[in-house]
Amino acid sequence: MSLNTNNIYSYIVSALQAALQVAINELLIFAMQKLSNFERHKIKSDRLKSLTIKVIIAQTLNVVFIYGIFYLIYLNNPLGSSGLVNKLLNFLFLHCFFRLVVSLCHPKYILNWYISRRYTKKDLREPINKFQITLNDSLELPEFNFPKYYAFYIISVYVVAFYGFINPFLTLIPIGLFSFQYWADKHNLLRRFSCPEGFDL
Amino acid sequence: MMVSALEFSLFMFALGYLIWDTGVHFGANGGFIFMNVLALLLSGTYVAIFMFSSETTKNKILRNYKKPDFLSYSDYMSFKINKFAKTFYTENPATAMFRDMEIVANYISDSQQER
Repeated sequence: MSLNTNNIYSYIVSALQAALQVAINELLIFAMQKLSNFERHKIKSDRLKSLTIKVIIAQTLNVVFIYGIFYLIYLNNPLGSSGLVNKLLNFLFLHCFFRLVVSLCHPKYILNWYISRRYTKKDLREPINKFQITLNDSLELPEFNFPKYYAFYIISVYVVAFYGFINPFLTLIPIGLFSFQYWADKHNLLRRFSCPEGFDL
Repeated sequence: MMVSALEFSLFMFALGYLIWDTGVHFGANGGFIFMNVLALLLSGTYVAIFMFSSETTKNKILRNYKKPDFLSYSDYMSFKINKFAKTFYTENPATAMFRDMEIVANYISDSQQER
Protein backbone atom coordinates (compact mmCIF):
# COMPACT_ATOMS: atom_id res chain seq x y z
CA MET A 1 0.00 0.00 0.00
CA SER A 2 2.75 2.37 1.01
CA LEU A 3 4.64 1.44 -2.16
CA ASN A 4 1.63 2.38 -4.27
CA THR A 5 1.28 5.69 -2.45
CA ASN A 6 4.95 6.38 -3.06
CA ASN A 7 4.51 5.53 -6.71
CA ILE A 8 1.55 7.88 -7.06
CA TYR A 9 3.49 10.61 -5.27
CA SER A 10 6.42 10.11 -7.65
CA TYR A 11 4.13 10.27 -10.67
CA ILE A 12 2.58 13.50 -9.41
CA VAL A 13 6.02 15.02 -8.80
CA SER A 14 7.23 14.12 -12.28
CA ALA A 15 4.00 15.49 -13.81
CA LEU A 16 4.47 18.75 -11.86
CA GLN A 17 8.05 18.93 -13.08
CA ALA A 18 6.81 18.49 -16.65
CA ALA A 19 4.23 21.26 -16.10
CA LEU A 20 7.01 23.51 -14.80
CA GLN A 21 9.07 22.79 -17.92
CA VAL A 22 6.12 23.71 -20.15
CA ALA A 23 5.58 26.93 -18.18
CA ILE A 24 9.29 27.81 -18.50
CA ASN A 25 9.03 27.19 -22.25
CA GLU A 26 6.18 29.71 -22.46
CA LEU A 27 8.20 32.22 -20.47
CA LEU A 28 11.18 31.67 -22.77
CA ILE A 29 9.03 32.41 -25.84
CA PHE A 30 7.79 35.61 -24.20
CA ALA A 31 11.34 36.67 -23.23
CA MET A 32 12.73 35.94 -26.69
CA GLN A 33 9.98 38.02 -28.29
CA LYS A 34 10.94 40.95 -26.08
CA LEU A 35 14.61 40.38 -26.89
CA SER A 36 13.88 40.33 -30.63
CA ASN A 37 12.14 43.69 -30.35
CA PHE A 38 15.42 45.23 -29.21
CA GLU A 39 17.23 43.94 -32.30
CA ARG A 40 15.20 46.22 -34.57
CA HIS A 41 15.21 44.10 -37.73
CA LYS A 42 14.50 45.89 -40.96
CA ILE A 43 12.01 43.37 -42.31
CA LYS A 44 9.54 41.11 -40.59
CA SER A 45 10.86 37.84 -42.03
CA ASP A 46 14.31 38.60 -40.56
CA ARG A 47 12.74 39.07 -37.15
CA LEU A 48 10.78 35.84 -37.44
CA LYS A 49 13.89 33.91 -38.52
CA SER A 50 16.02 35.22 -35.67
CA LEU A 51 13.21 34.70 -33.16
CA THR A 52 12.68 31.11 -34.29
CA ILE A 53 16.39 30.29 -33.95
CA LYS A 54 16.52 31.85 -30.49
CA VAL A 55 13.42 30.03 -29.27
CA ILE A 56 14.66 26.69 -30.60
CA ILE A 57 18.09 27.06 -28.94
CA ALA A 58 16.63 28.19 -25.61
CA GLN A 59 14.02 25.44 -25.50
CA THR A 60 16.53 22.80 -26.57
CA LEU A 61 18.74 23.74 -23.64
CA ASN A 62 15.75 23.90 -21.30
CA VAL A 63 14.12 20.67 -22.35
CA VAL A 64 16.32 18.29 -24.28
CA PHE A 65 19.52 18.45 -22.29
CA ILE A 66 18.24 19.29 -18.81
CA TYR A 67 16.64 15.85 -18.26
CA GLY A 68 19.82 14.07 -19.32
CA ILE A 69 22.01 16.30 -17.14
CA PHE A 70 19.84 15.74 -14.04
CA TYR A 71 19.77 12.02 -14.71
CA LEU A 72 23.54 11.80 -15.05
CA ILE A 73 24.05 13.85 -11.85
CA TYR A 74 21.47 11.98 -9.71
CA LEU A 75 21.78 8.48 -11.12
CA ASN A 76 18.73 6.34 -10.36
CA ASN A 77 16.72 3.59 -11.98
CA PRO A 78 15.50 5.03 -15.31
CA LEU A 79 12.51 2.66 -15.32
CA GLY A 80 11.35 3.60 -11.79
CA SER A 81 8.27 5.67 -11.02
CA SER A 82 10.39 8.84 -10.73
CA GLY A 83 12.86 7.67 -13.36
CA LEU A 84 13.86 9.26 -16.62
CA VAL A 85 11.47 7.25 -18.79
CA ASN A 86 8.40 8.26 -16.80
CA LYS A 87 9.50 11.90 -16.64
CA LEU A 88 10.02 12.04 -20.40
CA LEU A 89 6.65 10.45 -21.12
CA ASN A 90 4.96 12.94 -18.81
CA PHE A 91 6.77 15.89 -20.32
CA LEU A 92 6.17 14.98 -23.95
CA PHE A 93 2.50 14.25 -23.38
CA LEU A 94 1.97 17.52 -21.47
CA HIS A 95 4.04 19.50 -24.00
CA CYS A 96 2.01 18.25 -26.97
CA PHE A 97 -1.36 18.25 -25.19
CA PHE A 98 -0.92 21.79 -23.81
CA ARG A 99 -0.04 23.14 -27.26
CA LEU A 100 -3.06 21.39 -28.77
CA VAL A 101 -5.45 22.81 -26.16
CA VAL A 102 -4.01 26.32 -26.46
CA SER A 103 -4.17 26.26 -30.25
CA LEU A 104 -7.79 25.09 -30.12
CA CYS A 105 -8.97 27.56 -27.46
CA HIS A 106 -6.51 30.38 -28.17
CA PRO A 107 -7.39 32.65 -25.22
CA LYS A 108 -5.59 35.72 -26.64
CA TYR A 109 -7.52 35.48 -29.91
CA ILE A 110 -10.85 35.10 -28.09
CA LEU A 111 -10.07 38.08 -25.82
CA ASN A 112 -9.11 40.32 -28.76
CA TRP A 113 -12.14 39.17 -30.73
CA TYR A 114 -14.41 40.05 -27.78
CA ILE A 115 -12.81 43.51 -27.39
CA SER A 116 -13.01 44.29 -31.12
CA ARG A 117 -16.61 43.07 -31.22
CA ARG A 118 -17.49 45.37 -28.33
CA TYR A 119 -16.00 48.33 -30.20
CA THR A 120 -17.68 47.53 -33.49
CA LYS A 121 -21.07 47.13 -31.77
CA LYS A 122 -20.66 50.40 -29.94
CA ASP A 123 -22.46 53.45 -31.28
CA LEU A 124 -19.61 55.32 -32.93
CA ARG A 125 -21.30 58.70 -32.58
CA GLU A 126 -19.80 58.65 -29.13
CA PRO A 127 -16.08 59.44 -29.24
CA ILE A 128 -13.67 56.66 -28.30
CA ASN A 129 -11.17 58.09 -25.90
CA LYS A 130 -8.09 56.36 -27.31
CA PHE A 131 -5.15 57.16 -29.53
CA GLN A 132 -5.31 55.64 -33.01
CA ILE A 133 -2.38 53.26 -32.35
CA THR A 134 -3.93 51.97 -29.13
CA LEU A 135 -7.28 51.57 -30.83
CA ASN A 136 -5.68 49.65 -33.71
CA ASP A 137 -4.01 47.35 -31.19
CA SER A 138 -7.39 46.68 -29.65
CA LEU A 139 -9.17 46.14 -32.95
CA GLU A 140 -6.58 44.07 -34.79
CA LEU A 141 -6.56 40.39 -34.05
CA PRO A 142 -3.23 38.79 -33.08
CA GLU A 143 -1.13 37.29 -35.85
CA PHE A 144 -0.29 33.61 -36.12
CA ASN A 145 2.81 32.99 -34.04
CA PHE A 146 4.99 31.02 -36.45
CA PRO A 147 8.15 30.85 -34.24
CA LYS A 148 6.18 29.30 -31.39
CA TYR A 149 4.75 26.53 -33.54
CA TYR A 150 7.98 25.88 -35.47
CA ALA A 151 9.83 25.56 -32.15
CA PHE A 152 7.14 23.26 -30.78
CA TYR A 153 7.45 20.79 -33.64
CA ILE A 154 11.24 20.87 -33.71
CA ILE A 155 11.65 20.47 -29.94
CA SER A 156 9.30 17.49 -29.91
CA VAL A 157 11.32 15.86 -32.71
CA TYR A 158 14.57 16.56 -30.83
CA VAL A 159 13.25 14.98 -27.63
CA VAL A 160 12.17 11.88 -29.54
CA ALA A 161 15.48 11.70 -31.43
CA PHE A 162 17.63 12.16 -28.33
CA TYR A 163 15.75 9.91 -25.88
CA GLY A 164 14.17 7.50 -28.36
CA PHE A 165 16.87 4.93 -27.67
CA ILE A 166 15.95 4.49 -24.01
CA ASN A 167 12.21 4.88 -24.51
CA PRO A 168 10.87 3.93 -27.96
CA PHE A 169 7.26 4.60 -26.81
CA LEU A 170 8.06 8.32 -26.89
CA THR A 171 7.61 8.21 -30.65
CA LEU A 172 3.95 7.27 -30.33
CA ILE A 173 2.95 10.48 -28.51
CA PRO A 174 3.97 12.94 -31.24
CA ILE A 175 2.57 10.62 -33.93
CA GLY A 176 -0.83 10.73 -32.24
CA LEU A 177 -0.94 14.35 -31.15
CA PHE A 178 0.74 15.87 -34.24
CA SER A 179 -2.10 14.56 -36.37
CA PHE A 180 -4.61 16.48 -34.21
CA GLN A 181 -2.26 19.48 -34.07
CA TYR A 182 -2.17 19.55 -37.89
CA TRP A 183 -5.93 20.07 -38.06
CA ALA A 184 -5.86 22.63 -35.24
CA ASP A 185 -3.16 24.64 -37.03
CA LYS A 186 -5.01 24.39 -40.32
CA HIS A 187 -8.19 25.68 -38.69
CA ASN A 188 -6.29 28.53 -37.00
CA LEU A 189 -4.48 29.58 -40.17
CA LEU A 190 -7.45 29.40 -42.52
CA ARG A 191 -10.36 30.38 -40.29
CA ARG A 192 -9.05 32.51 -37.46
CA PHE A 193 -5.98 34.36 -38.69
CA SER A 194 -6.61 34.91 -42.38
CA CYS A 195 -10.18 36.25 -42.40
CA PRO A 196 -10.21 40.03 -42.70
CA GLU A 197 -12.60 41.58 -40.21
CA GLY A 198 -14.88 44.31 -41.54
CA PHE A 199 -14.57 47.24 -39.21
CA ASP A 200 -16.27 49.70 -41.54
CA LEU A 201 -19.85 50.69 -40.96
CA MET B 1 15.53 26.88 -41.82
CA MET B 2 12.94 24.33 -40.72
CA VAL B 3 14.64 21.76 -42.94
CA SER B 4 18.06 22.59 -41.43
CA ALA B 5 16.66 22.27 -37.90
CA LEU B 6 15.09 18.94 -38.75
CA GLU B 7 18.36 17.76 -40.34
CA PHE B 8 19.99 18.54 -37.00
CA SER B 9 17.79 15.87 -35.40
CA LEU B 10 20.08 13.33 -37.10
CA PHE B 11 22.93 14.63 -34.94
CA MET B 12 20.71 14.49 -31.85
CA PHE B 13 19.82 10.91 -32.69
CA ALA B 14 23.49 9.89 -32.94
CA LEU B 15 24.32 11.80 -29.74
CA GLY B 16 21.48 10.06 -27.90
CA TYR B 17 22.74 6.66 -29.03
CA LEU B 18 26.27 7.46 -27.84
CA ILE B 19 25.18 8.74 -24.42
CA TRP B 20 22.46 6.22 -23.55
CA ASP B 21 23.91 3.10 -25.14
CA THR B 22 26.31 2.29 -22.31
CA GLY B 23 23.63 2.97 -19.69
CA VAL B 24 20.98 0.72 -21.20
CA HIS B 25 22.91 -1.85 -23.18
CA PHE B 26 24.84 -3.74 -20.50
CA GLY B 27 26.77 -5.87 -22.98
CA ALA B 28 28.15 -2.83 -24.82
CA ASN B 29 31.80 -3.33 -25.64
CA GLY B 30 34.40 -1.17 -27.38
CA GLY B 31 33.07 -2.05 -30.82
CA PHE B 32 29.62 -0.63 -30.08
CA ILE B 33 31.12 2.56 -28.65
CA PHE B 34 33.39 2.92 -31.69
CA MET B 35 30.40 2.54 -34.02
CA ASN B 36 28.43 5.12 -32.06
CA VAL B 37 31.33 7.58 -32.19
CA LEU B 38 31.66 6.96 -35.92
CA ALA B 39 27.92 7.59 -36.39
CA LEU B 40 28.23 10.80 -34.40
CA LEU B 41 31.16 12.00 -36.50
CA LEU B 42 29.37 11.17 -39.74
CA SER B 43 26.18 12.90 -38.67
CA GLY B 44 28.19 15.90 -37.42
CA THR B 45 29.94 16.18 -40.77
CA TYR B 46 26.66 15.91 -42.67
CA VAL B 47 24.96 18.52 -40.49
CA ALA B 48 27.97 20.87 -40.76
CA ILE B 49 27.94 20.58 -44.56
CA PHE B 50 24.19 21.03 -44.72
CA MET B 51 23.94 23.98 -42.32
CA PHE B 52 27.15 25.96 -42.61
CA SER B 53 28.59 25.44 -46.09
CA SER B 54 27.84 27.56 -49.13
CA GLU B 55 25.29 26.56 -51.75
CA THR B 56 28.01 25.59 -54.27
CA THR B 57 29.85 23.33 -51.81
CA LYS B 58 26.58 21.78 -50.72
CA ASN B 59 25.68 21.02 -54.34
CA LYS B 60 29.09 19.49 -54.99
CA ILE B 61 29.13 17.24 -51.94
CA LEU B 62 25.49 16.37 -51.29
CA ARG B 63 24.21 16.77 -54.86
CA ASN B 64 21.44 18.82 -53.34
CA TYR B 65 20.47 20.83 -56.38
CA LYS B 66 18.00 23.52 -55.62
CA LYS B 67 14.83 23.31 -57.62
CA PRO B 68 13.29 26.48 -59.00
CA ASP B 69 10.82 28.14 -56.68
CA PHE B 70 7.30 27.42 -57.81
CA LEU B 71 4.41 29.55 -56.82
CA SER B 72 2.36 26.71 -55.45
CA TYR B 73 2.23 22.98 -55.13
CA SER B 74 -0.24 22.67 -58.01
CA ASP B 75 2.18 24.61 -60.27
CA TYR B 76 4.97 22.28 -59.24
CA MET B 77 2.86 19.20 -59.90
CA SER B 78 1.70 20.49 -63.26
CA PHE B 79 5.36 21.02 -64.14
CA LYS B 80 6.26 17.56 -62.91
CA ILE B 81 3.58 15.82 -64.99
CA ASN B 82 4.33 18.06 -67.98
CA LYS B 83 0.97 19.79 -68.14
CA PHE B 84 2.24 23.26 -67.50
CA ALA B 85 0.81 24.72 -70.70
CA LYS B 86 -2.63 23.32 -69.93
CA THR B 87 -2.65 24.85 -66.46
CA PHE B 88 -1.14 28.11 -67.66
CA TYR B 89 -3.55 28.68 -70.50
CA THR B 90 -6.76 27.11 -69.26
CA GLU B 91 -6.99 26.27 -65.56
CA ASN B 92 -5.39 29.26 -63.94
CA PRO B 93 -7.68 32.28 -64.41
CA ALA B 94 -4.85 34.73 -63.72
CA THR B 95 -2.80 33.49 -66.68
CA ALA B 96 -5.60 32.28 -68.98
CA MET B 97 -5.92 35.81 -70.38
CA PHE B 98 -2.55 35.42 -72.10
CA ARG B 99 -4.12 32.78 -74.31
CA ASP B 100 -6.91 35.18 -75.27
CA MET B 101 -4.38 37.91 -75.91
CA GLU B 102 -2.42 35.58 -78.20
CA ILE B 103 -5.59 34.71 -80.13
CA VAL B 104 -6.44 38.41 -80.54
CA ALA B 105 -2.88 39.23 -81.60
CA ASN B 106 -2.90 36.44 -84.18
CA TYR B 107 -6.28 37.62 -85.50
CA ILE B 108 -5.01 41.20 -85.84
CA SER B 109 -1.82 40.16 -87.57
CA ASP B 110 -3.74 37.87 -89.94
CA SER B 111 -6.25 40.56 -90.77
CA GLN B 112 -3.42 43.03 -91.46
CA GLN B 113 -1.74 40.57 -93.80
CA GLU B 114 -4.98 40.11 -95.77
CA ARG B 115 -5.21 43.83 -96.40
